[in-house]
Amino acid sequence: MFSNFSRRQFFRLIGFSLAGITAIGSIPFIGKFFANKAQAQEAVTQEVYRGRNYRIVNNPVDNTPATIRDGTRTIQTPYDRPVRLFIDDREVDVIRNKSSNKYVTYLLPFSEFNSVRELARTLIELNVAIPNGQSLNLNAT
Amino acid sequence: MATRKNVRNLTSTEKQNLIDAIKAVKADGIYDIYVNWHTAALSYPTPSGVSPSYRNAAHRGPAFLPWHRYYLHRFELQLQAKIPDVTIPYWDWTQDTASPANSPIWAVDFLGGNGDPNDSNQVKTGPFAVGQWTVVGENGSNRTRGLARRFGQQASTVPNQTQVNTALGETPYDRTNWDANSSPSHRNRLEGFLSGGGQLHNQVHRWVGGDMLTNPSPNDPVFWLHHSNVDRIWALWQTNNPSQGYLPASGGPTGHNLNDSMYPWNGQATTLTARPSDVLSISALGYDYA
Repeated sequence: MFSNFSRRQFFRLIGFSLAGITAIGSIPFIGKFFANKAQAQEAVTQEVYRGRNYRIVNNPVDNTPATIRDGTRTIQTPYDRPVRLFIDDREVDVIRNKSSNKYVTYLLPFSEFNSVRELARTLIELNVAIPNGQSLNLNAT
Repeated sequence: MATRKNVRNLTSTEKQNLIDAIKAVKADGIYDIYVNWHTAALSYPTPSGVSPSYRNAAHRGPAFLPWHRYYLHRFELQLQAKIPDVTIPYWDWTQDTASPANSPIWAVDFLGGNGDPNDSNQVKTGPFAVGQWTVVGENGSNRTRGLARRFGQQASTVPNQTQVNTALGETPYDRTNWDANSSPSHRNRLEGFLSGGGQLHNQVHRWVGGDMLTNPSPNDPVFWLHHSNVDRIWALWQTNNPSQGYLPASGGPTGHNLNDSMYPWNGQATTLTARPSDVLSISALGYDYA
């Protein structure tokens, strides 16, 4: 198609094309069709289930420490947080057991899940209250 | 010596006394605070800095068994303050493996039955039915619904004797990294995080379903009968393995060593103090199993 173009014309055509793409990408409306890499990684699942909104997002910058001090030993942290879960915009503590590859939350202490989606839906089905930092009355003997 | 009996061997009077004592402890507000103790312990990471979902004060670590032994002991004292001689019976689930939904414990004159699947799985039979029993949530406030059960919700049945025998024969008591991956470990096998051989304690919580799946699982009075059986199995293991002591003696995660205080019984969150070393002997605590 470009066989009749001189080398100069060919490179000028490439330059114009690149400039055009850059210009289009910088226009706010049109730019939305070109999601950047961070945006593409952020959202994984967002659903309304039984009237409650839950959102599972990738966690590319997992701040879980590589090691933990466990008694007198320092060990490789046996879990990580590859995703984050929010229910009604309140974050739920979810970890992945590196040995079993199962997802766990202390809010469902007897269960381990193959997916965070399944975990989130179980929390909603049981109407589990996501902690809000409120102190519990522990005054008894 | 107070004797905890198999629930199947309770007389009608003993069953009624247990129900009445539980209701009396509930009426004076103490029951809900005991539920809060369980909730608080599950959200308390051990040591600080790890996720409570990894290991907390009462689960996923060596203190699981002594924590619950002390917890049940205190609750039993509360019951006995209402009706002397009441003890917490144990539910031997292996007697109901074939058909746990038909266990006599779900009788209308005892714990009541399954929840109504058409009404948020609320229990509508027995003394803990909606309208007769309230439940508190993770934040310590009353839920807007009654007690929920959903038999078979996350497990198809309850453990059998072969699976219990596996736990009875497994040594040592526990091992590094003192968590839900520890193996071999009597504690982790009985708690239920090891694959193969059944999931014992966890499996029963997951079979009863409903409130028994959550942090405030003691909302369901079956919790006490279930953990009485867990404690009985540990006591049997101790008798069968006299050379096997509690581990870790030291050097393990805070809150799980032999002489560590167990949250919330650390003299600060509550006025009580309790360590695993305080509860290794059930006879020293004043009870046994029949």
